[in-house]
Amino acid sequence: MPLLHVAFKDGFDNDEVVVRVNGAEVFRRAGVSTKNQISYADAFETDVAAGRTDVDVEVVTKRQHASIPLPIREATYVGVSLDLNGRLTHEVSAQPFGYV
Amino acid sequence: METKHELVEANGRILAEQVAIELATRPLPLPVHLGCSGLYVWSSPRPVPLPEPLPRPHIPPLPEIPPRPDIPPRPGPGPDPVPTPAPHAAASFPILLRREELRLDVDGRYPQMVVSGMSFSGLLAKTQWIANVQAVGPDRWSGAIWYKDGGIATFPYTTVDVHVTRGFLKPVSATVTLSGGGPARTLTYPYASPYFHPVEFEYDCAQGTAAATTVNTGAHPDRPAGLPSETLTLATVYQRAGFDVRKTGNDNVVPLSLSGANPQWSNQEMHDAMQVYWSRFAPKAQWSAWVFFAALHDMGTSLGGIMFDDIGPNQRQGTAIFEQAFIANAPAGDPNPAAWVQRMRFWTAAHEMGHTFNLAHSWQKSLGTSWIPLANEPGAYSFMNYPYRVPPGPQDVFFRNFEYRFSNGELLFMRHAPFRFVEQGNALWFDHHGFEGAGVTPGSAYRLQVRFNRERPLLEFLEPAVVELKLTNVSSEPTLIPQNLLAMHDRLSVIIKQAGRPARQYLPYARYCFLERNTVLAAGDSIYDSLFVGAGRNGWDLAEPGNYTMQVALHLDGEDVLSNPLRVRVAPPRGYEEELLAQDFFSDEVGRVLNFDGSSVLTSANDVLQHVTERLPQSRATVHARIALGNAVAVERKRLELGDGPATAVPAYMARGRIAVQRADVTAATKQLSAALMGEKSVAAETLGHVDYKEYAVGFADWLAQNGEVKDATAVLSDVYQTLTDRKVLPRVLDEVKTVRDKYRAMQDGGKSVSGSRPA
Repeated sequence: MPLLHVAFKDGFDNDEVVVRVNGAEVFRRAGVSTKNQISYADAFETDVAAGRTDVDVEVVTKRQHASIPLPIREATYVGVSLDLNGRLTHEVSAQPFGYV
Repeated sequence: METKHELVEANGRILAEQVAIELATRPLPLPVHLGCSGLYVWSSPRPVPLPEPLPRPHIPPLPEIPPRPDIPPRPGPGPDPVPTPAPHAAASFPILLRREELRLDVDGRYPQMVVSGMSFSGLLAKTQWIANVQAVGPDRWSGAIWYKDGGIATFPYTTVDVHVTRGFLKPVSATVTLSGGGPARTLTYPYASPYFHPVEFEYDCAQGTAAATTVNTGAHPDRPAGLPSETLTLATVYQRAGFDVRKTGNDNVVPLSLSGANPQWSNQEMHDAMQVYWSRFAPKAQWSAWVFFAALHDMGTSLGGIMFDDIGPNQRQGTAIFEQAFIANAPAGDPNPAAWVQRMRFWTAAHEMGHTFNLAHSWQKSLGTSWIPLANEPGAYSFMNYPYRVPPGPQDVFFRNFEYRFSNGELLFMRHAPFRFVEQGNALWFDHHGFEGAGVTPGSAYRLQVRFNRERPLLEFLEPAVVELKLTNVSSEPTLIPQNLLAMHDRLSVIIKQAGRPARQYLPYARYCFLERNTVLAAGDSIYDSLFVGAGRNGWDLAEPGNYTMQVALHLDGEDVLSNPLRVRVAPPRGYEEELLAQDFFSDEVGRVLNFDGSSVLTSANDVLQHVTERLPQSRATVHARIALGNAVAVERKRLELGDGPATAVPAYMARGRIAVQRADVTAATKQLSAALMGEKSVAAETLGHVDYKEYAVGFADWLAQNGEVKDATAVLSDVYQTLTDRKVLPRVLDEVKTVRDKYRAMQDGGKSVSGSRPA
């Protein structure tokens, strides 16, 4: 089964984050905070069945929610950030993310 | 044999001096034109010598501590060296009565056309100013001062003129005339250095790894067409950024035993290694950084480097590069993988060292705790951007445009920002980093003031902060501005910083979208509005006792109009009762109720506010609480009721939700609003601010009249008129109050009634 990697990047500040994949909760963590010098807060990985996958990201503490539909065939990397206005943004990559 | 570049690093030679030496040994094409940029220093001619040291009592030596078995001795011959002063540090020197530094940045590498000045009294920086300048003659520049920091009350000047006197091969002095705002002042600064600041780097490696301190800029085919092919060092990169770079230490090898049992390093392990192996380690601010090359971080191959030193009071002194991370993997099909890897390691090292100067990533300039709001630079071809993040990508696009430099905003920050924001170990990481990119326009047509309507900027404990904004057209021409400009929170950036803590950006609960219609602001005229900054989506930014500084930027017509920095102090609690109430008061719900002037659904917050009015009836927090509680019951309010509601979220109709009407409680509303606005009227005007006090009071009068109490409405407005008159509020505001009062007075005399409004 392909790998789904979800990384939490910019804009998190002691936030509680919940991720559901196809409706099932796969990640829940409180106290997620971005280290601004590497633009990275946290990450997790899970295996998913190939095909359409719905990734729902909720930042409980900021009352933000985003649904990301993904056609997954191979390892997929999703980066999630909160912008200056506190809105969720995301990026999808076939390559692992690098931080410096 | 040492190479030329090694000599540069080892001896800290400056490029201009090398050029001078080379020129001196060759036939010169005259006239020689070397740059004028650099540091000029003037100091008081009357040094005060330090007193002779007092005789010390004899203190027996401490017993020797045996070495820890888990920390091997420092490599190299002999014992630890005696600590030596940082570069350019004042050793045993006379205390200078006064010293002034001038940084002229008009030619040489990446000129910013900026001149900045800093004055010191003793060892303390007193005043800093920055001006954008343009050439007005040979070796002469002038321009407007757009930034002041420190003791600006004694620095009234608005313009600067700089004239450099040249000697043979280098400048001799700069004569500076400051004018505007007071009698002109002229001072001649002797030339000191072609660099703006000193800095020293120490490169150490973990056992089995090598430092990447050089790159051949011509080795990889993806590069700018005009980029000179040269062997570039990290020292040269920072010399070109304006630093007098020196190298310290002996390129120590850090044994792997310090990383636990594996070749991967945690931040804590690196911090330990820094303390042991960095020859300059000291718990203080100093222009010095430790650069550590290792194999991998605990995060694995996804982390190419990190400025790991973000704990404690002296941050940004240590940084690390991981040679086996993703930066060692060239993309498939790359034409020169070895050159790609070397370039990526070098870029990563320069990038991480940039973080030690408090530089944020290019796309983060507006994030976090920037002191002056600024624009992001997501497309910058800078060391501080990610090559693989620059649009449109992929990363070879970045390197085809990358000239091994920092952006102009970053250079401005490193060269001219108050040094406490930049110097390693000084301001905390990410604190004040935002100085660099503010779109501040010198000679702006506007002046923005932020202030409290009270004699001293002191907030009671629990008192929600409400400030007044005043925007003045200081140009000689009328300007067009949007109506409701100061109520457009998306145009405002508010930064609040508690002393000794990182700055925070105030995030309002709501942003109001107005139909943008322009209105004329005549020359010399001002507009006003209030801003509730007590609580927001970021929490209560002005809650804890202590000293704060607040600054507001208004984004208008492509420029950032910056306010004065407003100092404010929050008093400590006056007793146990206030401390106890604070636990419930500083909540998100209470913040929302106060921000929106009342709620009929956030009942727990209303309970807290009710408790405040009962336990602290004389407090200023009670004025705000009564406004919210009174408004909540003044008129009928609609609210959605869901009964018990299902456990999971469903549409309201499925939960049998209904819109219910909550009836007004005129008696309770009158009691609360009357006590808030008509009790200690001057206190109410201070804590609510003049703008809100007038709005609340006129709204309250309208509501009284609507409820048949025209006589009371007239009395309220008479009191408000007198209160605002006593507080020397603008005549046009008084006229507005008077007009409404006279209307109700006429109705009272004629026995008419009113219908219509809410209290506020």
